[in-house]
Amino acid sequence: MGENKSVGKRWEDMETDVLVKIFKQLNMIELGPVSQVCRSWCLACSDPLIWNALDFGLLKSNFIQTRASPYIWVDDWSDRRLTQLLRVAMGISRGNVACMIFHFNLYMKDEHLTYISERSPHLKRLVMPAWNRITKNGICQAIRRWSELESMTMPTIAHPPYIMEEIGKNCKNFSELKIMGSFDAQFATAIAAHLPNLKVLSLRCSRVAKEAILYLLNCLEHLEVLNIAHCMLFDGPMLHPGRRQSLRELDHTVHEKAARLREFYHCQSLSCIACQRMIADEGLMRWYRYEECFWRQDEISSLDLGDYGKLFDAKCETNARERPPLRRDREIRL
Amino acid sequence: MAGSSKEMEKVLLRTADGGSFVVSRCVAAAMVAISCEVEAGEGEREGGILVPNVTRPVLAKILRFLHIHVEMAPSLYPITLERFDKEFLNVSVDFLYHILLAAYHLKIVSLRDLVCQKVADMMKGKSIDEIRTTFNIPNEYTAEEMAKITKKYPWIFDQQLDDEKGISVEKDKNIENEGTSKGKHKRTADELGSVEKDNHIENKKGTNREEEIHVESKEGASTGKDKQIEDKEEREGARRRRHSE
Repeated sequence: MGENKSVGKRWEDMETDVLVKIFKQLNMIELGPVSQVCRSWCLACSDPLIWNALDFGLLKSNFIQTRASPYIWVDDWSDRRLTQLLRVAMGISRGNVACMIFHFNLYMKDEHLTYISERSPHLKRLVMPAWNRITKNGICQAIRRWSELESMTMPTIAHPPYIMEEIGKNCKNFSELKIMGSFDAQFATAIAAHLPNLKVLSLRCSRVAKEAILYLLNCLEHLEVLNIAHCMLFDGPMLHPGRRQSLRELDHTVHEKAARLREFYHCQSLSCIACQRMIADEGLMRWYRYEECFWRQDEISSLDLGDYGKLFDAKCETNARERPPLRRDREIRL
Repeated sequence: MAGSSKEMEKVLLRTADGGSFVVSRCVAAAMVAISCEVEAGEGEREGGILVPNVTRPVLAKILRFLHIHVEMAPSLYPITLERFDKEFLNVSVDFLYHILLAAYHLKIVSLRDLVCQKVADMMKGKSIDEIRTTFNIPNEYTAEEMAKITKKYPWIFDQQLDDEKGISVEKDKNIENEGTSKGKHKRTADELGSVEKDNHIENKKGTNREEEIHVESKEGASTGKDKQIEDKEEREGARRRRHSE
């Protein structure tokens, strides 16, 4: 048949570039056995090009809401499943994950956060919209391990200064922040104080105090991109729901100050779907009501999440959803 | 585009092992690694172009692919091309290796990507040993090393989820700061006991704002009662179905 019988060059000796292109087609469960076939394949499986973006956007916790802090209860099985998946990803990637994305209904604990922060020292971007079950200490320790962090998407928290300080101290290249929920003067002050070099900020679909925006536009000299599209804006520095009306339009002061920015996104239109949803949800966007891709969008291209990628695909998600046969753990009664 | 007279000019391609092929210019130019020479007219000279890194049978195969995809494609249905691709790659693993390597060196992106996808598909759903067999890769690990791998990555061998009490750091040897992480891990476990103190939602001084944030985390997290009920029903239904299987 004319096939070469040359000795020495075989699949285990295939060019790393080529192996990486092959392995990029596989999800992380499929990569498991592949990574243990031989040493050269193991190395190729951990290539940064494969782990450029580890997108767990299809993974959610089994949870219910509760009346007491932290207002979320997640079943044990969800936690163990998350642990398992993180072990796979961290095991194969060998420290090469550059970006991690989690769903707003994925509630991880400190131990998960510790685990991934120890094993992804070169992380540059984190998208983690749910902090309910994480402690201050947990997130601070993680930030300390992620010295190369450049971009973070986070939910609104009660007292932002500590986290802004931690990021400012530990992440010298930090330049991009997205906040989901609400934004007031306290948050703005914390950012101005600890992240003076911030270049990109997105508050899209949040409740925002106008004064907070003005303050940042004054203080952040290096700010280049600001997104307040579909935000519900309120006068003054603080946010008090129900006590005042939101502003119908943005006045000239903000526009003037924003004129120096490279990109400024603003939308307050009754004919815009996102704005309509904000009104319907009274300023606190209930992302779970809408299509899955909606929360992942952002007018700022570097913050837009795009497709889910191959590492954790629909097959992984289906497999992950099937509970293992009933064993020693209690059946969760709801 | 195929059809213009220049594109249809014939060029001569040769291989190191004596192969010799006359093809259209457009087909030859699709091999980006030699496209400069093709453009410069080397293919029309007596010696033709010596295509590096490829033997006669492999080049023949590649030229067949390019003939279909470059010259014939405009007049073919996509489904025909798909069928061709499928049949085209129905070859031995060894031959696939050579086609892939050649496509890579000759910089034929479409063929390279096609073969990569095919090879990836051949790995899906297989165990480590099955993959080794498929690709004729010898096992370079000692029995000891394999035992370590089994211990470190039990999930690869389809073992049941361990009843883990949190994440055990000891098992993972591939982290740089392993020494310190154990200590940190212990501290975290202790702190979890006193989570109320450290919770980022401070509820010591109950303020209006604190309530606001709590509302946020409730709402932002999810659902009104309706969804909870839906979820409940869904779970009950799923459980019933499973038990009846």
